[in-house]
Amino acid sequence: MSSLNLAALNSSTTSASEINVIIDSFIAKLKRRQIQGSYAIALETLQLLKRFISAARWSHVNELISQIRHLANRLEKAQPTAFSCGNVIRRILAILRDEIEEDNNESSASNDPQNATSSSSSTAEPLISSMFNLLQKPEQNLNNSQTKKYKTKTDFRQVAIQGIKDLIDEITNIDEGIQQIAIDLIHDHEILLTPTPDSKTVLKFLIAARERGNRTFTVLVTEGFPTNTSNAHQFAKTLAQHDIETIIIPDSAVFALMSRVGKVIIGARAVFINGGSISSTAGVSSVCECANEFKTPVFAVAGLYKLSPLYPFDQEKFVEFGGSQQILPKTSHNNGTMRLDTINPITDYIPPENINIYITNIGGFNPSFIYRIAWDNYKQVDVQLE
Amino acid sequence: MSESKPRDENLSSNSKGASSPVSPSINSTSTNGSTPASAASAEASEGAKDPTDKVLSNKELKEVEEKEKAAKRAAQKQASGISIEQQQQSAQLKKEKKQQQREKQLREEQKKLEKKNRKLNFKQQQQKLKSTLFGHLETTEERRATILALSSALTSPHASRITATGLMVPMVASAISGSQVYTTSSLANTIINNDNTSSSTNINTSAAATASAVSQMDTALQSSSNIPPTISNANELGKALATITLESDKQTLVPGITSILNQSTFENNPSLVSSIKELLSNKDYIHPAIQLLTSHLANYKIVGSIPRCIAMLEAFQIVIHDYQTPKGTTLSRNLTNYLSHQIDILKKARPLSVTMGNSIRWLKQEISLIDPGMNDSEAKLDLCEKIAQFAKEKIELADQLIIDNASNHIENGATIVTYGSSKVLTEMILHNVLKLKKNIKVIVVDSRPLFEGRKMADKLRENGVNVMYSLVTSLNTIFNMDVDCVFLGAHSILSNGFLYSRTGTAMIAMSANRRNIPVLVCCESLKFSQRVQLDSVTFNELADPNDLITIGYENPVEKRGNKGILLKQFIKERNEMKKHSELDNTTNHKKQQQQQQQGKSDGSKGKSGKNGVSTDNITANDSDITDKNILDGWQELPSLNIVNILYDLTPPEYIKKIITEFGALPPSSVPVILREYKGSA
Repeated sequence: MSSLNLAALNSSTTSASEINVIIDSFIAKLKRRQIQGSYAIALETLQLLKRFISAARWSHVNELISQIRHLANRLEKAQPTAFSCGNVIRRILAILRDEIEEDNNESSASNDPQNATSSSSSTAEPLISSMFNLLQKPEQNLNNSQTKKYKTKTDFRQVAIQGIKDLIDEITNIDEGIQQIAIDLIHDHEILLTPTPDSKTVLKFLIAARERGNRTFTVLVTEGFPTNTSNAHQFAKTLAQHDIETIIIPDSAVFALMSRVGKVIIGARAVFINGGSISSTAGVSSVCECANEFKTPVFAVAGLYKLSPLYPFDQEKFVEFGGSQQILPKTSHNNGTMRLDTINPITDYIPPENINIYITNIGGFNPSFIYRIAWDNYKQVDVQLE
Repeated sequence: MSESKPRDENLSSNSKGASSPVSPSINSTSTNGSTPASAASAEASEGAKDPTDKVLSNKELKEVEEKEKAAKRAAQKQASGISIEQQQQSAQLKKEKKQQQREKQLREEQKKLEKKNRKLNFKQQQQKLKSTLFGHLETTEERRATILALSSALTSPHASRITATGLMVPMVASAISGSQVYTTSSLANTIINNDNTSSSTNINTSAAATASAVSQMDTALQSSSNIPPTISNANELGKALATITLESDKQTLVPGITSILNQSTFENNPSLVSSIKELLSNKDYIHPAIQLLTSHLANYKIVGSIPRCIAMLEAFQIVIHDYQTPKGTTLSRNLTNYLSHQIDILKKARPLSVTMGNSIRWLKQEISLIDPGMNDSEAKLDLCEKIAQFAKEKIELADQLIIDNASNHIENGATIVTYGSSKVLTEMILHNVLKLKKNIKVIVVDSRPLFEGRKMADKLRENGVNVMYSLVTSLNTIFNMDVDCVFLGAHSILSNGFLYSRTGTAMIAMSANRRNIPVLVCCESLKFSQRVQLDSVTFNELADPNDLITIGYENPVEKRGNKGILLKQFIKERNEMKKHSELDNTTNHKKQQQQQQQGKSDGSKGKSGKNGVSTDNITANDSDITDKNILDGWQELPSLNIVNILYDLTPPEYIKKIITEFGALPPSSVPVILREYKGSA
């Protein structure tokens, strides 16, 4: 405890300008896509947040919260498709808010037993299951209740930093939890298909299933041309080196081979509240459609930190598009001035109806149940960070 | 330098090891001779040290040595008073001894070979495990093996010399394709001559023959292949080789090919070998036009079922034009037989397309209908005309009708999605844009590895059509745009209504169907097939898995065609051989120098060190030339496999309409058309 305090004190000496430089460089990195993969983004964001909280000055917790919200907003604007960045910050916010609530309950209970009931009812999260306060603005409620706050006893800086540490722990140990659940889902001599070769979770899970589960199975790997082909080849090679029967197939052959496939495994980059997900390879939604057509089960593996409290109203906002240079040959004869349009999405949105189950580190869930898990970890107040 | 030193030591130790089996033979010959002989051998070995003599191989060196020794011995013995007769007798004895020794060596070699074979067998077993889903289909490797074997047998020895570094193909080729017409019969003779009992020894000799042939041919080629006697010699050797390779199943068929293709392809399926043998025995019948077409088809220079069919019909016209009825038969009887030889070869390039199969069936029927009393030249002309008419009726006019019919489905301002490249669809879109002045947008979807859609997109763009080009992975985005209908081409339509077309077609049809976008198929009735099939795995065509190894937007097939893998392979093997010979030379050199004087060893080390650097440079250059891929050498990983299938099967429920020259019909009506119009197709 003391060492933690010391560290907090030490880092708190970093000036505000210094932390701003760090934030700016992180934003630049995000914009330039120098940090790839939701795992790395989540961890780096948490590190940044730790420094930010250590350096932050506030007179009341709400100030801290609004500062964090501001930071999260800036990061999210820098890279709207780096969902894990916003997710982890929202989770820290939720931890802080929980702590505030607890603190309120305690203090109000000790100070004024009569007021306690009213304050607790007003500060509590609006129940999601009821439709009555659907149109209410919960933020106002909270602000009203919190204006009449007294000095809090709890050290929120410490709470937040402890929360960040726990979250880092959780994220780094995510594969363990997923593997234990997912191994039981495949049987011996099954043919699996994975269209997301860049997912480390899928790779680790397959290797674990082979080595620990001691199952022999065949994995079909689609190429994900053009953006993910090299990843796919590396993925297949790694699997083969671990003595797993691996077959590389072109993206077009998915339908032809789907009748032989027992299960489709996809890695998600972000999971939305409706149960749909974003994958980091184009063409995954077509694969899932095929699987759906053949009634082949699709299971998505995703760590809890990939759950996003957003709703994909506008798919095009969430799907990224790449340049045309990977699609068109350099030597394409540009005779005449006739234009040639190309389209090159590099991520893909998979609707919830094409996914059968999500395997997270805390268990397997139906896509329709994902919203519950999300609200366990996030507060509705923080969905919109503006 | 510091790195090269330990390496040098290694080399020297290696060379010592290598020298040990050679030395006893020298000893055995020199024991009979007295001191001058050994002095001569020393001289000879000294002579070999000269860098100018490097060119001579070890064997030749030995021969020179032995000749010198023999001469000296003879002189000695004559001097000591032994008569010439006695000398001859003793020489005979020695010869016999040597022969025995040689036989011993051969036997050892044979054992080694067998060991190798066993190892290879083991490898095959591993490889056999590889193919999991499509083990029942013919692989491109097998097809290429057949074609290589055939083309090496058919083409001139000069051309085939490049195709294989083994230097065996030219000999086999010259032997088989040599002027002798009786080759097949001679082969048969040799096969009959070899009894089962003597087969084991036979293999022995065959191994010996191959070994000697290699060395001799090597020297012959190196000196100059222009000298006629060497060529005739090579021819004879080649003939012998050909017979050997053809008769013994244990040996590979044409040794040169194995340097390019995996040896196990031959070894693990005897049926392939036997089929190649059969083709080779019939190779005199093959018409050059067919041979050319075969290579075009095999290299994907002609793709698409209709272009393939047209090319085949044109080739048949030439074949029929050149055909002469042998005595004793009639044209209507023999021509079918003759054509079926050609078709056998065509089948080896790629499995026949349905259009090709249908037109072959029609042609055979036409031939059988020819009046036997008709003059040959007249009948031939008549047939050629009929073929032209068939092509026009079944393809050109049918396309016209299809275009007219399909144009009704395209409204002004529509957005159309197509997949890959289809001849009739390209024409149809151009007709709509250019003639009917419709303003339409075409989205061409394409896929790896053939990238056929590029051809179509380019052609449409050249003619001013509004084209969007995308890949099959972006289907979701494409169908989120405002798409009016999907037009698909076909390879074939099966009797149960399934559409058999390029891989990826089914996925597009499925996606469109799920979004309630109509899927229309344009297809000539020539493509209708009697076959039924339920999924894409049971019957399909496997393309070369290596096409998927390179990552990039370039067409790997074209890339391969441009670079010439055979030439590349040749250069690579040549370099390796060079390296080997260099290493040999350096080691020999070093060994001798060490024997001579150990004081100068430092200098020699420096030299060989330099050599090592140069070979390293070569390898570095090699790796620069052949761009690296992650999956290079995937064959070595026993559990890694690449499947590159060419077709898939679209269920009839995804297809709204099939537009043929008989009108538009649902997929369920395909058997009706097949039945009603059986006579015309």
